[in-house]
Amino acid sequence: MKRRILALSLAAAMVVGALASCTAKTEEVSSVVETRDVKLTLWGSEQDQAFLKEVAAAWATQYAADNADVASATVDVQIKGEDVATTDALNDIEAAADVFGVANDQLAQLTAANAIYQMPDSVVSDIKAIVGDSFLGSTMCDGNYYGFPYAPNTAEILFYNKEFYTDDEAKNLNTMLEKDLGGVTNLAVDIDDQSWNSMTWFATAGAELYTGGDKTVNTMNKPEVTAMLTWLQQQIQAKKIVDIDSADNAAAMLKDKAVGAIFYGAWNKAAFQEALGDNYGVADLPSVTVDGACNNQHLVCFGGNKMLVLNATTKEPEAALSLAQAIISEENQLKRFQMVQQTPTAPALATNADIAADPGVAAEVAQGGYTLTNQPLNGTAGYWDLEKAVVSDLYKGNITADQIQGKLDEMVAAMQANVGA
Amino acid sequence: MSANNLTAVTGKKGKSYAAQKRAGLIASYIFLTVLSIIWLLPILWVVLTSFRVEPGSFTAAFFPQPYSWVEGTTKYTQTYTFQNYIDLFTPRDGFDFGKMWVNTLIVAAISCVISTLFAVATAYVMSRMRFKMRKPFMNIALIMGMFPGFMSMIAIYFILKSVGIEKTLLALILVYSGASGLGFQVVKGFFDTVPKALDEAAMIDGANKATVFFKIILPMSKPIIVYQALTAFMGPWMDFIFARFLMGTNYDTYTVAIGLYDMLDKTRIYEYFRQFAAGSVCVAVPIIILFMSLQKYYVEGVTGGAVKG
Amino acid sequence: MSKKNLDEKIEIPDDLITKLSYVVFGLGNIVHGQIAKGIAFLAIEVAYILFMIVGGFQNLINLVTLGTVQTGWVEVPGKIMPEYRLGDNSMLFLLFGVLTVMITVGVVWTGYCSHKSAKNLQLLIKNGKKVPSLMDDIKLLLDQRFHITLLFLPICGILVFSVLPLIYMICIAFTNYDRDHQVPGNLFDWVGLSNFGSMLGGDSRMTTTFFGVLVWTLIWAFFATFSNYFLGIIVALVINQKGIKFKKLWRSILVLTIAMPQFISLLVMRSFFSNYGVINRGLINLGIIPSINDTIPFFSNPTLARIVIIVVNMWIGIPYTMLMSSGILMNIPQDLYEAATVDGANAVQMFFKITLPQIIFTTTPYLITSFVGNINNFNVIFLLTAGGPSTSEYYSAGKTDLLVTWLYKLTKEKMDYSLASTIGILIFIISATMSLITYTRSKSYKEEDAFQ
Repeated sequence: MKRRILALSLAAAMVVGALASCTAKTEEVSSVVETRDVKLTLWGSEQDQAFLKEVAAAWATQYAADNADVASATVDVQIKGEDVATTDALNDIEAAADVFGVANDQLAQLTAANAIYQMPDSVVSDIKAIVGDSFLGSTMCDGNYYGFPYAPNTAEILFYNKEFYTDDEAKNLNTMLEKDLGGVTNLAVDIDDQSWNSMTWFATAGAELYTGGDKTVNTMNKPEVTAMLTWLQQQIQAKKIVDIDSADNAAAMLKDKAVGAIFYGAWNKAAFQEALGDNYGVADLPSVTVDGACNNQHLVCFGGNKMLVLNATTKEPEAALSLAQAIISEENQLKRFQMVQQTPTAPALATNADIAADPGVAAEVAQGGYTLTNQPLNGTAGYWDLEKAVVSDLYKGNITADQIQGKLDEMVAAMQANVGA
Repeated sequence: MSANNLTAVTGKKGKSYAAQKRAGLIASYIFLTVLSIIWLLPILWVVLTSFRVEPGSFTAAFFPQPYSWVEGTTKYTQTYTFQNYIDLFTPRDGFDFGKMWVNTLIVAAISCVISTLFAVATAYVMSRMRFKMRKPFMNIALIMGMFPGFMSMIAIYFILKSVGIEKTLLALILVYSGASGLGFQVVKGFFDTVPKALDEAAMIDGANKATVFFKIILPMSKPIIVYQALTAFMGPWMDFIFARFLMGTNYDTYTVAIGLYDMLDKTRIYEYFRQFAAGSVCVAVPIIILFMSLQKYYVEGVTGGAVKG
Repeated sequence: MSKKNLDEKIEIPDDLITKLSYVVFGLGNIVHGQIAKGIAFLAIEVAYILFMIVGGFQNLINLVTLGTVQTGWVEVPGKIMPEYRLGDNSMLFLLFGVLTVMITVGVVWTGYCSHKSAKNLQLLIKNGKKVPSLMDDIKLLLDQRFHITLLFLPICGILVFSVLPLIYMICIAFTNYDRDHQVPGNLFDWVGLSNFGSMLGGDSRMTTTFFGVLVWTLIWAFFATFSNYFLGIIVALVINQKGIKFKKLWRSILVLTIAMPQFISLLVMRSFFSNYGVINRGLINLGIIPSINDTIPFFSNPTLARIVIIVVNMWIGIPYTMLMSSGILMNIPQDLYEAATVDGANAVQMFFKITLPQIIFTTTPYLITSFVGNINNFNVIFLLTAGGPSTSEYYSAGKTDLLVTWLYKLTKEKMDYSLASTIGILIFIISATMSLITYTRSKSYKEEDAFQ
C-alpha cells in the first residue's frame, strides 16, 4: 500500500508541475532590450540545402550589421521538403521553422489554421517588383498575399527521345501520335499517380477552376472537356498513349525505349536525362487539335509555385521577413539557378544567357506561359481525388464515351460540395 | 524411422507404399524449393540492389550482370560496388546513418527490456492471481489494442511535450514500451501451461508470491521471455510513422526507419534507392542473426503462448 | 485472505472517523496509528487540491468551453509586421481537460480506498485485533497483494499512453475539429452526435464510402487471416513430415522475411507489381505480353489489386503461422499417431482426425487476434497500394482502402479529424464486439483454469 501511495503522490506532484508549466504560459517579453541574438530556423528541401545555407549565412552577417539592436544573427537550415512542410508544421506550429517553403496549393490549409503571416502592402509591392503579377497572384488566398514565390511548380513538360521524334515533330501532339514508331508506344502520361498531372487535359480544353479564388467558378464539365477526354480515351484504346504509375517507371520506360516521349514534372529531369543520354530531348508541351475541344492549342498544364511563408508564431517576424526577402532576391535566384539549376521566378532572369541555354529550365519557363493556376482554396484537397478517379476510370475503360459527360457533372457537383460553394 | 521398419517387414505391399512415399517426398522437395525461391527472391533483389552501380529503383535486368559492356567502346564496366555502403555511412547534412543505427539500437534495447518486464509482470498477475478486476481488465486489454494506434499520435506528442521530452530518445522508448502491459496475452498463455502445483509446493515451503514469481516462474519462462523481447526489439527498427512524427527535424535522434523511409520520397528515390537497399540490409542483418540464434526459443514461446492467448 | 473476508462480512455502522475518511483522506489511518500510510493518503489529497487551485479547475472549465479567446493579430506601431497573439488552443484544452478528469477519478477512488482502509481498521480495533504495521503492509504487497506491486507501473503506462489518448480521441468525434477549425489559429467546439449522423446516412457519398470500405475490410480480414493460417499449416506439415531433410534450413529461409522490416519488403513488392515493374517488364521481355499497353494492371484493376494484396500478405504472414504450427505439430504426442497406425489409419485420416483438430483447437484465440489485427492492418495496404485504385464512387478513398487507411487519409490529407475519430470509434465498436463475443465464448477463456 505504502509503495502505491508514494508513487501516486509522486505522479500527482509531477502532473501538477507539468500542468502548471503549461497553463501559465503567458509571460510577456516586452521589456526594452539593448541588444539581442536573433535565431531563426529555415526549412528547405534537401537539394536546396547548400544554397540556403550560403544565402542564410550571408544574410545573417548583413542583418546583424544593419540592426543596432541585434548582437548576432544565426540561421539553422533544416531539411524539410515543400511536400511535407505543411503537414508537419500544422502538427505543431510552434515547433515549426520560422521560415519554410511550401507549395502554393497548401496555402489554404495554413491560412485556415491562422498559422502564417499575411504580407503587409509594402512587402507585397516589393515581391511584385521581383516576381511579377502572375507569380504574385498564386500566393493569394481569400484576397490576401502570403508568401515569397521562389520556384515555379509546373505540372509537366515534354521529354522525348530524339531517336523517335525530331524537335519539330515534338511541337505538335497530333503529329507525334500519328507517327508510327514501329511497336513503340508514342506517349506516356501520368493518369493514376499524381492527379494534378492529368489536369492538363481539362486545362487545355479551356476548363476553369476557381479562377481568382472564386469558389463558384468551376467549368471542369464543359462540353470541350468531354470532347477532349473522349479523344484521350480513343488514343489510349489505340495504344498511342500509356499510363505512367511512378516517377521511377517513367525513367525506365524512356531508357528501355518502350515509349517515344513522356509528359512529366521537370523535377525529375535529371533522371530522364540520364536515361536518354544523347537522345535526351526536352521542351514545353506541344500543341494539339481535337475536334470540338480546341484548335492547334498549346497544351496548358496545371501550375503554381513553391513559396516561402513566415510562421505566425515566430519570435522574430521582422528578421524572418528580411530573410525571406533575401532568399528570393533576383541576385540570389540567379545564384540558386547556378547552384541547383532551379528555374527562377523573376521574369527579369528569363533572358539571362545561362538560364536560356539550359534546355530543361527554358522549357519550364516557356510552359510557364501556358499554365492554369492552382488556386489555394480550403477544401480543394478533395478535388485531386475526384478528378483522378474520373480520369483513372476513363483510362481503364470503366467509363464509356457516352458516360463521360455524366461523370464529369457528378464530379463537379462533388467538388463544389467539398469547397462549400 | 518407424516407416522404414514397417517397409522392411511388410515386403511387397510395402514396396509400393515406399514408392508412393518417395514420390510424396520428391513432390515435397519441389514444393519447398519453389517456396524458398519465392521467399528468397525479393530479399536477394534487395541485397543485389544494395551493391548496384546503376541508380534508380529499376534496372533493365532483374539481376544485373557483374560486368557490362560500355556501348561504343571496348570497355567493360563494373555493375556492382561497395560504394553504396560507403555513401550510406558517410554522414551528410541531416543524415548520419551510423548514428541512426546506434539510436535505434539504444531505443530497441531499452524499450525491449521495459516492455518485456511490463508484459511478463502483467501476464503473471493475470495467470496466477485472482482479484475482482481481473476479468474486466483482461477484456479491456483485449479491445484497447483495437483502436487505430496512429490516431493517438498527436495526443501522445502533446503529453510528451508538456513534460518537455518530445524530441528525445526517451520519448520514443516511452512510446514503444509505455503501454506494453496490454500485450500480456501471449505470455499469459505460456504461464497458464506451467502447472500450478509448482507454485503451491513452493508456497507450502513458505515462499511468498514474489518469490514464486522470481524464483520459479521466471527461470522456467525463457522461451516466452525471448519471444516477447524479440518482438519488442524489432518494433523500433520498423516503425516509420510514429518515430517520424515525434522527432520532427531533430536529426540527432532519428532512427533508421525514419532515415530509410525519407529516402523513398519521390524526388529522392532515384538517387537514393541503392543506399536505401544498403540500409535495409544493415537493418535486417542484426535482426536475422538474433532471430536465427534464438529461433528455438521463439518457436517454443510462440507455440506455448500465442495458441492459448 | 479468508480472515479478511470474515472481517468484511460483519456489518457495523461507520463511526465518525471512518465517515470523515471520505473527506479527509487517511484520517482513519492516522487516528488508528498507521501514520505513514495516513500521511500518504493525505498527501494525495493535498496535492490534488493544490493542483486544482493552480490550474486543474481551470482545465475543467476549459474542457467545457474548449476555449474562448480567438488567436489574432495586433498591429505594432513602428514595425512592418503585426504581432501574433496566440489565443486558446482547443485541442490542448481538450487533452488536459481529459487528463484532469482522469486525475479526479483517481483521487475519488483514493478517497474510496481511504474510507475502506479506515473501515477495516475500525473493524480490527472493534474485534480487538492488532493494527498492521507498515512492515506488515509491505509484506502483503509481496504476497497476497503482489498483483498491485506488479501491475502498478504497467498500469500507469497504460493510463498515460493508451487510455488518455483513447479518451481524447473519442471526445474528438463529438467536436467539429476539422480543416475549418484547426488549432491553434481557430477554436473548435462540441457538436454532439452530428458526425455520426453524417457517417451513417446523412451524407450519401460518405455512407457509400463507409459501407463499401467496411465490406472490403471484412473480406480482406477474412482472407488475409485464413489464407495465412491454412497455408502456414500446410507448409509446416510439409516441412515437418517424416523423411524431409534440412528442416531447420527450410524454416530459416521463410523466417528471413520476418526479420526484414515490413516497409522495405512491401515497397519492394510494390515495385515488382507496378505497371512497368519487374514482373510486367519480365513478361514483356519474354514476349508473353506484346507491348507496354497490355501490361497486367496488378494495382490499377480493383479486383486484381485486391487479390495481389492478399497474395503479398501471404508472403509476409505465412512464416509466422508456419513457425507457430510447427511448434504445435512437434508437441502432438507421437503415441497418438502410432496408435492410429496400428489401427490401420492412413496419412490422410490421421491428418483430419488427429493433426487438424489439435491445431484448430489450440489456435482459436490466435485466429481472433489475427482477424482483428488484419482489420487494422495499416502497413500492407498503405505501402502497397496506398488505397488505390481511386474511384469516383468514394469520398477520398480508393478501392483497396481499409477503414484504417481511409481514416489515415482523412486526418493527414483532409484534416477531417472529427470524421476520422468517428470512423475510429465505429471500427472499434465492430472489432471489439466481434472479438469479445468470440473470445469470451472460446474454450480457452471459459476453461482457463482447467489447463493448470
